[in-house]
Amino acid sequence: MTTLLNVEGLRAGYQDSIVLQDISLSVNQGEVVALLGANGSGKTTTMRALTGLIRPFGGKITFAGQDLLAVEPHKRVDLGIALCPEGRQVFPNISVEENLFLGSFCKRSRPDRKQTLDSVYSLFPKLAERREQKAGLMSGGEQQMLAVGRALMSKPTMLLLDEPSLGLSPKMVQILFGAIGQVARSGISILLVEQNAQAAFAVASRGYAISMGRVTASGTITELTKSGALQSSFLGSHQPAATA
Amino acid sequence: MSLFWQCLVDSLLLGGLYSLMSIGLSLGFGVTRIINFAHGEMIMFGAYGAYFGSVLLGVDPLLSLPLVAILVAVTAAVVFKALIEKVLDAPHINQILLLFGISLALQNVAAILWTGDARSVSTPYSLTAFEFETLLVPHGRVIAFATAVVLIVALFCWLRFSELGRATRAVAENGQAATLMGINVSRMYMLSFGINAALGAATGAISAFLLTITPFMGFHMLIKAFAIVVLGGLGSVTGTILGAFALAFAETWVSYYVPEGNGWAEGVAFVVLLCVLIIRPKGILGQAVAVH
Repeated sequence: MTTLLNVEGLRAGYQDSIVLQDISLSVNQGEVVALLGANGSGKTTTMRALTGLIRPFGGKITFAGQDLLAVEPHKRVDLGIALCPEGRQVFPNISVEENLFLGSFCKRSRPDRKQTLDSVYSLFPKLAERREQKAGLMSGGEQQMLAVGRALMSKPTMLLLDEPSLGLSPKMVQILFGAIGQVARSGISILLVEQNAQAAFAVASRGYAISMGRVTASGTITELTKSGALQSSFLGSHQPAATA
Repeated sequence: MSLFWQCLVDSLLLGGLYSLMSIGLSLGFGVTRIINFAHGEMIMFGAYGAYFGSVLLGVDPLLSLPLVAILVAVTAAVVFKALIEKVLDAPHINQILLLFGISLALQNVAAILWTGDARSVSTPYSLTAFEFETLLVPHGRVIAFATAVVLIVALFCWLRFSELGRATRAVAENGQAATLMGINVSRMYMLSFGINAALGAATGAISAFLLTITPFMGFHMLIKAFAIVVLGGLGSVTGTILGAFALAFAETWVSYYVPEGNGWAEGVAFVVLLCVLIIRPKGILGQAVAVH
């Protein structure tokens, strides 16, 4: 298995507060990896550093063998890395279909956007029904489908999902993770940030537990659940957790 | 009754010009969240461009309009890159001071280069008019209105149907999400500022045969454009057009029906501005823009 994404010693934060102390992780080609942890542990900050929305203080990020930090944020999509951000961040006054077209703005994905659009519509039939509607007028679950669909429109080799289950009904979480599973089976690598560990375990094969900006445990899902590392990561235990 | 119809026609024609005058300001603000207080000077440079085109080269203002608009837009984009981009994240007061500073500098550069003399462009259609019984419709105003309509429709089509137009709307709604789509946000800022300038310059080029040209003509046009944008709702391009017609109607009605109304009409913009800020700060169609 080849490594697609590799993060080493990442340190990042905002102005003078450091959120990420030392994050190292890797995602292989075709793999689904979960990033688990409590509120404020640094999951979203990791995602923002990967996509360039914030500039890290230190550390290394390589994607498909390329130094990602040397690439301007808006050019990272062209390399095949797409983020579905926390809180969906769809364009509220723009129609569903146009939101999706915006997802394929980058040169690499623009030529065959019609085909990609069809595949997104078959993944989320609801979006096809609502194509003319303004995105802001849809329910939270539909907006989340749109956010995932929009990220897929760039034809990524790696999809970053930041808390897709946030604020959704259990039924909607089920539908959404069904679709995420389908995306994973199509060969796209996924790095998934979740607080809903149960939902994450349904699709992920490996995971990292993070707490206070550090990786506290890593391993396969079975190893993580057995070791109790997750509990301590979520409940904020100060005892050093065993690395599985 | 004929006074009523004359007033109606005048309001409509003025509304077209006002729409063009303020739509660039509205678009520029919607995207960059910076109010271009040098907008009036872009109008002024457009007017001088058309004037010199006409006087030195004998070119009609309508023909020189595209070239003048492009020249002003490119210059504005350079100024944006060199100066304005540096204050994008600065407090609003810094942005306002910088833009006002640029405005004052440009006014005085124009005064040094071309003196403060008032000028005007005469064209074959400057002094002629359509006459319907007692109704008088000047050709120049009709041509200005038609030009404004063409440019505004072009802008709407560009925003609605082109790839970059769609990206512009995306940046206006959510800059970070737009970055995630692979859109170069700082380049889109520069582009929308350039379009803002081009529309200002176009307004100047068609004002060249309607109004008197001086280095300081831009300021009161800025005030009116600003009142219109606030009235329509900051960031709403459709609202801006409603606001433009509302101000045009109010001004024309005041100048026709209020004794000594011509003088009072110039103050209507200020009254409108005050009333909107007190009664409905988000304007007719504006989305609430919370700034912390």
